[in-house]
Amino acid sequence: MDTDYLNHVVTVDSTELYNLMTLYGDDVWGYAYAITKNRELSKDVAQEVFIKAFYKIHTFRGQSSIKTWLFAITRNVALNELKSSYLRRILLFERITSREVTPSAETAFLHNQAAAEIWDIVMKLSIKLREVLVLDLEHDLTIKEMAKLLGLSEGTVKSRLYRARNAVEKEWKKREERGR
Amino acid sequence: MKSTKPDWYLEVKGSFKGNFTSEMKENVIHHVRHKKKSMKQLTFLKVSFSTMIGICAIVTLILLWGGIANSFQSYKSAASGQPQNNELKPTVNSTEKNKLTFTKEPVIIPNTNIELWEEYESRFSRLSTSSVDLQEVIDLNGRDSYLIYTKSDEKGKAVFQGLQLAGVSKPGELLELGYGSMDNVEWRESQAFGENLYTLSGQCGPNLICTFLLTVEDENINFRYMLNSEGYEVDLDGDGIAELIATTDSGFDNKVYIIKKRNNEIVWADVNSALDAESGDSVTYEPQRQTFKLSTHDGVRYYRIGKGMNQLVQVKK
Repeated sequence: MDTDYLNHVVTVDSTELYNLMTLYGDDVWGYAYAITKNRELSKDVAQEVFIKAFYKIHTFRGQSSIKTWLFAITRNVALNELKSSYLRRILLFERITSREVTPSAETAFLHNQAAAEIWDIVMKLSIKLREVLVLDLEHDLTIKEMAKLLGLSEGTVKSRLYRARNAVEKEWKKREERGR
Repeated sequence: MKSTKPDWYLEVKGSFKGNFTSEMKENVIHHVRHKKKSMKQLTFLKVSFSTMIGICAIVTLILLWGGIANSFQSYKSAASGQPQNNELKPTVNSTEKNKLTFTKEPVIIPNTNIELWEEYESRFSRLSTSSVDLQEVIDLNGRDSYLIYTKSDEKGKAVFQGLQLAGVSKPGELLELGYGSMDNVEWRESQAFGENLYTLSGQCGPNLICTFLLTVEDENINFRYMLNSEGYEVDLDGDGIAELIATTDSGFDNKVYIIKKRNNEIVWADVNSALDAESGDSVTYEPQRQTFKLSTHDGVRYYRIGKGMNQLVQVKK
């Protein structure tokens, strides 16, 4: 679907909104999950993002791609959700439960074992490293797009990405050695 | 950093898909349709003549009642010898409104413009100036310099930045800050959080300021804190220790944070939240007057931290 016309519209109708969700819904959900690490919350965040996009579409004027614009909304909504005290309790609970020997949420629904292992490592990174890595790995955002989205300098994004990749590789090697 | 993506990306990419289901799509569509319907109903009510009459009548009654109540209040104040509410005085809210909530929430810290550097990566690395191609040398104070360079052995020719400090870097070497470069660089001493620090700041992107707070010891420079924004150093709460005010207007929202040290830990408070700023509102910090300015569609209001309080109080312009 060509989304260039969205630079010039003031409103979108339900069909166009539905098409946008079909095109970017999974990505928005995935990015929300990378921030929140909570599947149920990611669902709520992703829906909220498209509701906001529906009402704010007139503010999109092609200053970025529609995907980056939706990601910026996702980030705002997800971080606002994380700030609520209610969620802090949930996160704390998640941290405690993740120490259990049961497979992590990501591992459980990934079929490829190696991929599952790597995602497990990625999701255990700090949010600042995890976020840039997921945007680079899964969503192919350029350094410039990430810098704009995250409000950081390109240098900082590069540095975080470098540290994130290193951290994953280091932990991956460690796990492999342990498995031998 | 490697310019190409690592091999393991191929293994992982696409295996972790979000799942925005049809049910979720229907929820969204239902929500916007329902809200549209409500808006239409509201529009109808707005144009309804009888409703307008009713609203006018209620407003008139409220205004009349407000006037009577104010007169009564003025009379009471005058009678008891208390000063009447004077606009020149700060309007201190006795309620919990505009309370600053300081937190050390680790999940949010990286996104609130402050980064705490872990010990293992805190030290500037030393490089020989012969291993770099200098692009620019900026004099900081007649003794120290800020350098922009590329590395001779790197193919990509990424730009790096570093410092040469008298008494710290040896002749023929520089201390590497990292990727990128800054314009309008400033270097000054800092007493933020009651620590002996140095601040290196500059423009590091379009509409983006980077501020590095560093410790300079005998032979080393270490990262201590980093702000992805401007950082104003001021003792707002009057406890004798300077806080940092971080302000940013990049991206979608401009945000203002107060960052302080409490019990040896960095804590921060979101000024936008304390002022209940909504999307479209603007919150800025005015360093000369040490006030926070909230601009909304209703007008402009100014706030200051009450002495010894974790609360913003409204002040007259």
